[in-house]
Amino acid sequence: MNNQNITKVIVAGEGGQGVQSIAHILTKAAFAAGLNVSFLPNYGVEQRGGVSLGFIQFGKGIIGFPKFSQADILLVMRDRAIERTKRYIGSNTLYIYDSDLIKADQLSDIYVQKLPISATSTANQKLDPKVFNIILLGAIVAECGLIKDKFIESEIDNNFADKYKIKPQFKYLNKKAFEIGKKLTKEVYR
Amino acid sequence: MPEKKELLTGNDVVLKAAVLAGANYFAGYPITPSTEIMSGWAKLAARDKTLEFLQTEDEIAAGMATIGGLLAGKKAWTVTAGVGHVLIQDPMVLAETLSLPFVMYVGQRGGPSTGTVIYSQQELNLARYGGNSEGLRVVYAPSNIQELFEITQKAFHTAWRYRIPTIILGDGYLTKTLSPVDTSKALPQEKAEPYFLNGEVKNLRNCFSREDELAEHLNILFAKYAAMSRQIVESESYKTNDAKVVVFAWGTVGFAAKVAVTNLRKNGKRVGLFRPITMRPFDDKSAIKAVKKANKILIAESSGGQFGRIVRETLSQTTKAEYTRLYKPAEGITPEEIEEKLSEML
Repeated sequence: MNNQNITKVIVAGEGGQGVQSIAHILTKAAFAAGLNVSFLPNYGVEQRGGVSLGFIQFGKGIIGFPKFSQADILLVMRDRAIERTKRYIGSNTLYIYDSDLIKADQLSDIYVQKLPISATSTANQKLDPKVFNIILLGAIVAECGLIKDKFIESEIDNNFADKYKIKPQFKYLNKKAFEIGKKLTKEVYR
Repeated sequence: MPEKKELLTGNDVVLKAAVLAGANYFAGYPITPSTEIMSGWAKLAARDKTLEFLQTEDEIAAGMATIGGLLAGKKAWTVTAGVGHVLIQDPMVLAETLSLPFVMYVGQRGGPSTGTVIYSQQELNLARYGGNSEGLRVVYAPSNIQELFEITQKAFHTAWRYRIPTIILGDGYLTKTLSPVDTSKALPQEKAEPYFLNGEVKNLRNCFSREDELAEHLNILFAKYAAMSRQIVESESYKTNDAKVVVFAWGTVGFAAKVAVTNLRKNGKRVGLFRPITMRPFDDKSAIKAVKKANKILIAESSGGQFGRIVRETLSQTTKAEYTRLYKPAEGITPEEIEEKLSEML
């Protein structure tokens, strides 16, 4: 029931950072792309501040269970999520993090391949602080390489449809953020 | 009907199943991880005049209003979780003594007290025997989102067929997970009827003057419960015929255990699973049969032993198998963890 044709992603950050939003977008896009999917959210009682997690799986194989022990891709958006997510790291986990909010020496005891993405500073300087999470989503999509961009872009728009009514410029900003996120993964020296 | 898979959360699925089962009255109070069922119902009720909705001041009132709906002939139901589940046990025992078809979905969250908001298996005792209950109720435990759809419908059928309070006992892993589900299949249902008609005098009693009077009332209920149990008791014995090690697990953990057993069986390991589907009544006969060839039993649950106590009581003096416990109170258990534990035991 569990098999190799499933990509397992954990998105982790602080409540209010949009962890659940990007997890939703990724899951719905994968479903639209014809893949099997599952997304399990996990968070505490806090509206803001607590650690918020999303367990996402997608692929051509059969998904057995919504939670898993090891992630293929782990995205950590905030330093306080570092400890909480250590237990989900396996030898093949790709560790993506926001290098503006987490310093490399905070991860000195984590021995897996890492992908630092300067999402916060890039969003602040080039776009809008709010879209930093879409930059990180771009990094995940580029790394897993299973979902075509058009599916992600359309789910981003669905997810923020209400927001676009008030601030239409976010449609453009989100699209740009997604493109930059994908591009940044290629610029990181590995 | 052809299979129709939609991307839904378990909360969406409970709501769809209830509507399909003919539910038309909902009284409740919001609580994570089940809030979206109530807010979803409120949205439906705003559009559809045949659906009624009442948000009450707390869960005691929610349960009492649900009972009011039932007496008036509505297919009334409610949804709660955690500390709300504690409060609603008071109206639940009223429904128990009056033999009312009180249907309730419960999303277990961590405890004791406020605990955590998504997941645990710590409300099993409460669901089976909460309040000053004698356990005269049915408790179903779905293990995945597809089963949640079928069992929610089945709960309405059982409740109205046998006139008995019925709980669907889930958790936030089940109802917060977003995944594809086929929601095309409707199960048969019973018709709802009012308990009181205009001008009719009827005395439904929850209060008795004499001990022997109450005892007589209860003995009738116990006899009815025993007869019903034979009709509705349900469990899954998966690859237990030749199993040397049998894992006992229920609900979400039951599904994780099935994944683990499937993986180990691929490598020829003689492992099996016993998973109760009705947590009350409990399928004793099948449980005893499932461990006939076993010399070891693993009990896996996200509580400190609420399920384990039922298992050991059920199997006492029927097996010499040795018990191993994988108790993780308030924490999820993955298939990988169960597989590892079973491998150690083989």
